[in-house]
Amino acid sequence: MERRNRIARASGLLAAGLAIAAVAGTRFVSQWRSEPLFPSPAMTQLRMLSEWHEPLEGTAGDTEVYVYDSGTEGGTLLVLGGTHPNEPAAHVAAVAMVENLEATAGRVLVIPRANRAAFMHNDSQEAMVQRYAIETPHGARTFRNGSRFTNPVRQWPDPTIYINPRGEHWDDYAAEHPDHAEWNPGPGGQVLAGVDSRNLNRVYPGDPNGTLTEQIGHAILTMIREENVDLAIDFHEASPEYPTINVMVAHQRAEGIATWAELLLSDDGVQIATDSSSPRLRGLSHREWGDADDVLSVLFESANVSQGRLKGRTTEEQITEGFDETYLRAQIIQGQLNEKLAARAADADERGEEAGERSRRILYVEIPEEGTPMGVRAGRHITAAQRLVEAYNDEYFERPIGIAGLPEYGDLVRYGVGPFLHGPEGEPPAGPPTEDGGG
Amino acid sequence: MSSVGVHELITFVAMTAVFCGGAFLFRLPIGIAMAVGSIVGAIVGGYVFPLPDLVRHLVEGMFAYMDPILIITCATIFMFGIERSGLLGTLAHWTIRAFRKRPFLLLAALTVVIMFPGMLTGSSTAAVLTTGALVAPVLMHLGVPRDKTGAIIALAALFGMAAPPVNIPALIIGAGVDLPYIGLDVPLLVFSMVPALLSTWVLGLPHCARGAAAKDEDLPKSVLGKHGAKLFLPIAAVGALLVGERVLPSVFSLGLPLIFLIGAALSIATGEKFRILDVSRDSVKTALPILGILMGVGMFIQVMTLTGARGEIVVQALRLPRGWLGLYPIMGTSLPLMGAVSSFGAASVLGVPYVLALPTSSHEIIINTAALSIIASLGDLMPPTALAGLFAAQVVGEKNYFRVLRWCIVPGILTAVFGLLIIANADVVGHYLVFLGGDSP
Amino acid sequence: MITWVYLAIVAYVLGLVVWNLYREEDLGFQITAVMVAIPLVLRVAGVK
Repeated sequence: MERRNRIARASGLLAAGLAIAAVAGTRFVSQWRSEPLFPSPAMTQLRMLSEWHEPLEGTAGDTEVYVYDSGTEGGTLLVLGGTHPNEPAAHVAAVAMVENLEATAGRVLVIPRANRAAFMHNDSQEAMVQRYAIETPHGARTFRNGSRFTNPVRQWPDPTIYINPRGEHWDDYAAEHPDHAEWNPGPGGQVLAGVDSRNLNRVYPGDPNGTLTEQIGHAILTMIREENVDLAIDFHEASPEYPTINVMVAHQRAEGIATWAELLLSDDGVQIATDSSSPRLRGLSHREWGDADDVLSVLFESANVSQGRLKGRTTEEQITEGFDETYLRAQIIQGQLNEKLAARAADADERGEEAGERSRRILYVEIPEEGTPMGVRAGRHITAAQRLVEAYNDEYFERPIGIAGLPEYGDLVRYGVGPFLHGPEGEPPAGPPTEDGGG
Repeated sequence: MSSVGVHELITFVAMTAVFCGGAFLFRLPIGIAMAVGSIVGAIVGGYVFPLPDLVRHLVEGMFAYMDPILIITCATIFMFGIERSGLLGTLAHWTIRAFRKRPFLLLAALTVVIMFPGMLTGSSTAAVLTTGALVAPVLMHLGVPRDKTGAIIALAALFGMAAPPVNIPALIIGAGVDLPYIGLDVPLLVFSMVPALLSTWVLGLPHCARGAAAKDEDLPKSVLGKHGAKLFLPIAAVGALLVGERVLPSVFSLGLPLIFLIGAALSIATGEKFRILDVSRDSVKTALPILGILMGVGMFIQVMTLTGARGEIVVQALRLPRGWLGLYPIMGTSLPLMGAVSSFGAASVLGVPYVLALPTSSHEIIINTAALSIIASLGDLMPPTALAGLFAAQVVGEKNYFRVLRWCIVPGILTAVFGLLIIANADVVGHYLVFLGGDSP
Repeated sequence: MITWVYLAIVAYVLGLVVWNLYREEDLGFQITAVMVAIPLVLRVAGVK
């Protein structure tokens, strides 16, 4: 081919490639801007996480800390949402708390976007929607659906394997509490896949001189220590095929109140189990917060189809309605398989042979035909937080925490989370519809 | 409601058909054929509009391979560099002279040498393009045919990637089921070493007789006399940095691409002269078709996930009971097949649900994770990507990588069966191979 | 620091890809080169 033609064709192709990159790039960048939140009038102070670790200031990792101070003596509660922005109900539950909360004793700190740098992008090959709408009586509010990991544009490259940091407070705390040695065997050092260096819930206790994600982890733990946080809750969601689901994972010192909260929640109609935080799995909030400080740390998980491996066609309804046909099919297949396995086992028992596989769980939660809507999932978090605070107050009555203004579980299930959020222009939450059908 | 997702499966069949048609009938480059398949998948799945969103999905899918692009390119530059500097030929020359009378030992040693970078980096590509390239001329001069040499390198590299201390599919499965990376080293070492040595011996030993008789003049040229020991600096540096990355990650966290570029830079000054820009350009030219395949695969997977085809395949793969007439053959085939896309992707998408479908006692879950990670690694031999085979073909100078891959078929199948046998007897195997000492991770 | 080194590596690889795009005559090869260039451009530009 003639040289001029070759160059012309190459230039044309390059221009086409750049055009494609520009179209995609515009979509990517559209996800960088934070959606506005509208804190309740009871908020007393808006702080930034960088106040506890200055180098975070101005970075993608700096994030809002909403403070609700009752003005009366008491304990301090910390609530974290958005550790993993691909777990939307964990984010929306914290947002609903920010927009309705009132502190009646002690203080409450809420961080709805714990890893703000992970809201900026989506994981490759997970084919997520970038945002979803929640209808309020004043119009739709749009929230971003992000990634489990910090945006690589802000932290890159990943190491081949990631070894989570030792942290600076573990030794002091362990020396003060030799009686904890049994479940607090040693700090850090967990060997993880390289990508987990960008997973906020694997980098605790964090590192003040480390990566962006480790600095966020360090800042949160520093805040817990400096603000004397008594009870800390980390909101999460998990895919239905993940065994740790619809549970509270509690640090050993928090197991008592978590079990008590579990009992209280059964009165609300919320079935939730208490799991013990494994001392062998390091780097997680419930583990490291409690191993470096007196705080009682608990992590909540609700069930989310949009982050699962079995998820079907990408839709916004996976997030807002928790509805997914492929998961329903998985449930049918699980039923058919278990019938077959039971019949085989019965045959084998009759012949006196070993039966082998008797049953299998493909899914660890029941998938309702109509889905598990945002109201139910966020409602579980909000209600479990309230009951956990009650359980805490029963045992630690000398440092009480009082929270009010939050929507009732029944209302969240019936009306969804929309009536309990501000409108898109900041109109105050409409609340549940009244009996005569008005708003 | 039916237990089969018809629309999802039709979408998948359409994408695959278009890809195959494009690649085999119209002779499109594989990466482009996959891109066309992805677009057709989006059309059949009903995701064409809004168009910018589809473009976003296609481009987003490619980003899964951002790091592999850099690893592959930089490793290729390094390999070309040490070849031009004369290092490759010199090493082959002296290894053959030292070991040609003891082929059994030599083959075992060469296997471990090929595996070594894979063990440290968890990447079969890194192994093929570094020590694989070193060993290739040795094997061929011993008399092993070109295609079988490629197969030996591809297989050893693959088992190196699966061997401890770094097995990324196992890390990924472990992360998905909250299994700490403890107690996996011994099972992984046994499960990877046995098939690695056996396949090298079976493929190589019958040919080594001729090599023993080769004259010194026929050997690759040594330039050791001309350049002295500094000739070996690139490979020594890369080796030291790879080990350092594993032993002292806080100090040596350079990453594979940078390590390979440092090695390439050293090769400029330590042997025969060459121009680094020309070598870099030629390396990228050689690697580009493979990088293109990765981009095509990235789009393909993104569209499979988008249209529900990926989820449907995972769900259908879980519908059978355990056993040799049920789940086992499905695991043994679906993991490597999905691994054609990426063995890491297969480990995450299929490996995790499979581990949960098997017994989960503390010993058995470790054995099952290790065995499934080995089976998932076989994906690096599966066309169209077949990363290990592709690069092995390149390293031995074989144009058609299917000629290399055909010698991997039997070892590959036997390895899959070996893995399934381990899974079927996980309780017994676990009793002997799992040591869970103290609690410290 | 290491991030800047890696962005430089991406830029170097991108440069080599574009150089090959202009040297080759085969259309399939050229299209492949453009496909590979797209994510590299977006990473160097700090977009994705």
